[in-house]
Amino acid sequence: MGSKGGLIPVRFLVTLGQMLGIIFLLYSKGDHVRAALPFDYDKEEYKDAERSFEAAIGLSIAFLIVELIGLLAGVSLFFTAVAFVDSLLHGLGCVLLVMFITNEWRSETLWILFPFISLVPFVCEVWAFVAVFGLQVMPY
Amino acid sequence: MDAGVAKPQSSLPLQIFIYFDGYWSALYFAIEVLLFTYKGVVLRYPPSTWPGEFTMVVLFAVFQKIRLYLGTAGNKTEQLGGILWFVLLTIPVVLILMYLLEFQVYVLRFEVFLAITGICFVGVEFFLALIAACFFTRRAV
Repeated sequence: MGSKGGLIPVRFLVTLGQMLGIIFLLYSKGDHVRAALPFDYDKEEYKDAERSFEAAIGLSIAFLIVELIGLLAGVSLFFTAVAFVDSLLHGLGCVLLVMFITNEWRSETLWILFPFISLVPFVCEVWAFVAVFGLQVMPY
Repeated sequence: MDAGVAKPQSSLPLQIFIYFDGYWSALYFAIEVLLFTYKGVVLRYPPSTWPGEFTMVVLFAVFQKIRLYLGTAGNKTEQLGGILWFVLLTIPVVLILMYLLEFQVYVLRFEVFLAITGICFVGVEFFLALIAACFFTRRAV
């Protein structure tokens, strides 16, 4: 009960927090993309950088939605390890995204952060889905 | 299932949502208090609007606490009364959230996201509670 009482609310709130940070990136998209480009960029370069940035944001949002569904539907609710990894990495993600926005980091930096704050928690979530529905380690 | 023992009718999805909504509401209240402090210091308000809006936030916390308590109790004890009060108290909570989303003097982007999340939660709970209420009445008859 101890871990259930502490970790799961933290995981939920921190996941929501990262969702908020990612959605806020959409508002300041132009600043990050311009920061990543050389001084004399043309329209084509801007479009490419913007598309890459949008892809990272879109993938992150999709992963976070899958994680929230897994959490609220109770699939990964009882996996303490998943809750721990998610809390840690999404908590880190919240802090990094705040720095990302306030310091106007370059847009490619999001792809460097992406594996840590989006991909690893998503892989954990998928592992929980496989364990529950594929291997059936616990009844759903 | 044993023939003599009735299957519990309490709704697990409803309970999960009430559980997370409790934590979400606590976070929302804390953030709103901070944001209202910020807005009160930094932005100019028309006379005597800030206290009214701040009262809304406090009322939200009070309503939400009562609502979630009644919902939990009603759901776990399979009592129709608690669930119906839970559904009725949804109305003031949604009204306050709508006010904070749309009609207050300064709406920050932060608040838009939070209020929309809250309305999603309350909406899902509303339907889950109605379904649970249907199960409870069927059993009572």
